[in-house]
Amino acid sequence: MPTQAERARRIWNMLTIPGPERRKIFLKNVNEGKPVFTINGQEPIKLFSDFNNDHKARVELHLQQMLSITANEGNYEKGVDKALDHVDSLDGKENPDLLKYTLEVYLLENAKKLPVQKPSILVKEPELVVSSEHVLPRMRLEFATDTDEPKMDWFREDPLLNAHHTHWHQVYRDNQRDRHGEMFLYMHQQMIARYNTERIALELNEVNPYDDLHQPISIGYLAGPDGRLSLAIGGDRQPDAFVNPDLANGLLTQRERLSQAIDRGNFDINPAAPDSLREETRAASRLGWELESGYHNSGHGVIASINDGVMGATIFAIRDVVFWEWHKGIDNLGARWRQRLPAYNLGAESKPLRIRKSVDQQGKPFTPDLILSFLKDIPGIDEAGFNGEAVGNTAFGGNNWNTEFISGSLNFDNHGNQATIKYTDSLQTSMKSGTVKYRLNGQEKNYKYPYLAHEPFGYFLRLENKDLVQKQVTIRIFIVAEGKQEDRRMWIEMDKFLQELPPQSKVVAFRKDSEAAVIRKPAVLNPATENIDFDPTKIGDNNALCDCGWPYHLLVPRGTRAGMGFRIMMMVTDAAVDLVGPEPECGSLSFCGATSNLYPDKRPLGYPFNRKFNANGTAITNTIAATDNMGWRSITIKLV
Amino acid sequence: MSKQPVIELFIDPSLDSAADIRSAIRSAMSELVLMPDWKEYYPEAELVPTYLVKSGINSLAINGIVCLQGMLKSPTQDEMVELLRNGGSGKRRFSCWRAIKNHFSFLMAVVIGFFPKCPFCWAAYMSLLSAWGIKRIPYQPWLLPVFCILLLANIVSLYMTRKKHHYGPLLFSIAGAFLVIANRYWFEDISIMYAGVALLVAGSLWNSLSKRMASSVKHYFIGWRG
Repeated sequence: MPTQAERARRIWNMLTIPGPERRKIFLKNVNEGKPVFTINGQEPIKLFSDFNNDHKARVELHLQQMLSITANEGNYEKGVDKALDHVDSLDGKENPDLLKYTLEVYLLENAKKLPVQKPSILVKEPELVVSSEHVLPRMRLEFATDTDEPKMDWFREDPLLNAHHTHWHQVYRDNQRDRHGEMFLYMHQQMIARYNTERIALELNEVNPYDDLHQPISIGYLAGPDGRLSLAIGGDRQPDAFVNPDLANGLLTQRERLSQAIDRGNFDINPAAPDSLREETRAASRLGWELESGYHNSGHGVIASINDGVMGATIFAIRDVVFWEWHKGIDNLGARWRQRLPAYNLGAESKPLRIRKSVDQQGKPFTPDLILSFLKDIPGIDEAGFNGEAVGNTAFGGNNWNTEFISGSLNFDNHGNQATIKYTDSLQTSMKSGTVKYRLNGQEKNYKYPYLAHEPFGYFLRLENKDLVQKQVTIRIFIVAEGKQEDRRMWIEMDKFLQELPPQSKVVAFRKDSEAAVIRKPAVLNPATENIDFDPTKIGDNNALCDCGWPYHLLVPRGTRAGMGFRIMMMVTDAAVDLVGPEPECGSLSFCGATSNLYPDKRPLGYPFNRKFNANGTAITNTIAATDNMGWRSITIKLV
Repeated sequence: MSKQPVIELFIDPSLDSAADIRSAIRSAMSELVLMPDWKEYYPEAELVPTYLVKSGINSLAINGIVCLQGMLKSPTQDEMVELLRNGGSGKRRFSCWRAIKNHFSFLMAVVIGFFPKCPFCWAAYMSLLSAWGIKRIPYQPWLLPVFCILLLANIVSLYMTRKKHHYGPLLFSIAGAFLVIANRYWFEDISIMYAGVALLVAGSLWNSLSKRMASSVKHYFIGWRG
């Protein structure tokens, strides 16, 4: 029997065998009439789409076979080996992308038991993540439409962001996980909020929905220099391409039916129900699943069918401009339903503690209880046993509890040692360059791609528990571009975590950016080097489930060279009301839930920005100013 | 002035002098070595304190006492310092809620803990009382099965809420019920009956305390171990 390392190596190899060669063999077998895998005489699947419900059913069929092979073997490891043999036996007979997808889902299903190391998307599908900037300018369809959209290529084509999207769809694939539909709406809404924020920084308009499918898609798209050669996608989509009018009619009918169902109140909740939180999450899940499994999936297929384009598969769909336009339309349907929910009355909810607030020297809202520091400016951060809370209490607690720390440095006695800590009101980002390498048609390929990075930082949060009882609180941190604070759909979740507060205590909590609940964990600090080579020392980690989550390097919006204004908001709620289970061991709490089936927060996803605040113009500003357990401050994000 | 005053500003954010008013509050608080910190309500805000609503928009209250009304221009920093000095040393508006919140949280925990909060809890209390006098009213024989049912209901309700405090309250009550009933038929010893009643009371009280209140009791009597 192979060793753990040998088995992990085998899985790594199965996931990294070049796709183009396997596709070529499979298609050759199909074209030559050789025996391939079919069900009831159906056509073989030549181009795999995980948005296609028939293709997904085929994945489930193979997956169930693999799981059953594993379960029927007395020895688990032998069972895994046999399941892998089964995949190998289908090589050349089944669509290789479908097989790879099935294998990845199998690893997810076995995430807790099977030690593997999963390769980066840069190794698994390198041809598909090559930046389109390498396409010859004359071939860049975007140029033909005289558009600024290529300015956003760095975001849409980010390899790890594409990996996040496909991985999320693997985790949430069959409506079996808790709050699947609600998560579908929320995760994509957050993607759009971030996309729009980046567009504002580049002085582009916010994305418009692509709702009227009889209208042409104005922006064309050519995926990358080798995407087409890899046989995973078809040709390029010309500017102003139309979808098939009959298919467009079908989708418009679906959309109209959904809109009417929302307007009729089919998904309404009873706000007076004893468990109205659960009612809302259930209703959101029903709506989300109905949207995703029908209208959304069909739309991807219909748009992809123009040119067998990238919209057809989760692994590269987000590279296309039309992906965001399509999802904006879906998000609008979600928002249409949310608009029917009663407004929040956060002032009347229980508040575990009070966050102090005033204005800064420029007259902008300011809370002294949220302090930002770059990790490099925190003394002892790299030492083993570093305790951020202890450093925070010594520096920003005690006699300094009532001192404001906006931007500057502080000398303090760090347990007998003189130390200096710097704090800031400005986060920093930068654009870096990575390299993707592969062989295609016998040729060595070597392409650069840009990716965003940020200076690692941490939050110090001052929290006072005046009560005589110990408290566990949930801290939620959001960010929004200055000027967009009244648009609840523009708020970006940054983090959510629990904090213990002893009775009658003043605590300075500390949280690193790499611990953020939204990102995949452990964080990939350097996309250009991590998970690129097989490393036997990492096989115990099984990052199959941990893959799920927003990429760490995209946590902070890019900002601008001059410094872009943002508001960062913290809210503290009673964990006794929120919590239903433990935090996940890895992966993203916010976007992927816990490893167990229950999502560990009772409140609706995106709380408190999941509902309108009230009917007035400055509802959000108004609420934050008047609500004890909310506070915000202005910061800038500077691209250096 | 060392104690942090509670400052509330009921303001129209579009007021030309709004920024100056905020700046004056901030500067005055800094001058008095206080953390700049206040709460703002805008015209559309919900839950604006009554005294601010009565005073009208653009009012400032310090420790619940309205100090400025209908501000159209900002007070100077010195005027604000003066207000803070007076407001801070002035008697704070009495608030029952604040008093309860700040000073009587433990007391409330115990008091609330003693109140039955549901029909089952009422049943539990009644069963205790009835158990005590169970043998002294033989001229009402129908009471015995009624009280036994209530006792059973008490135990069932404790079983159904066992997730709250695990099996502690349930075991206490089962032991108490056993002692009371066994005493009725076999021992007829007043001290055993009191012991049984005490166990029933303890079980019911324990169960009726919320987790938070139970933590508070732990904090006072056992010492916090969290």
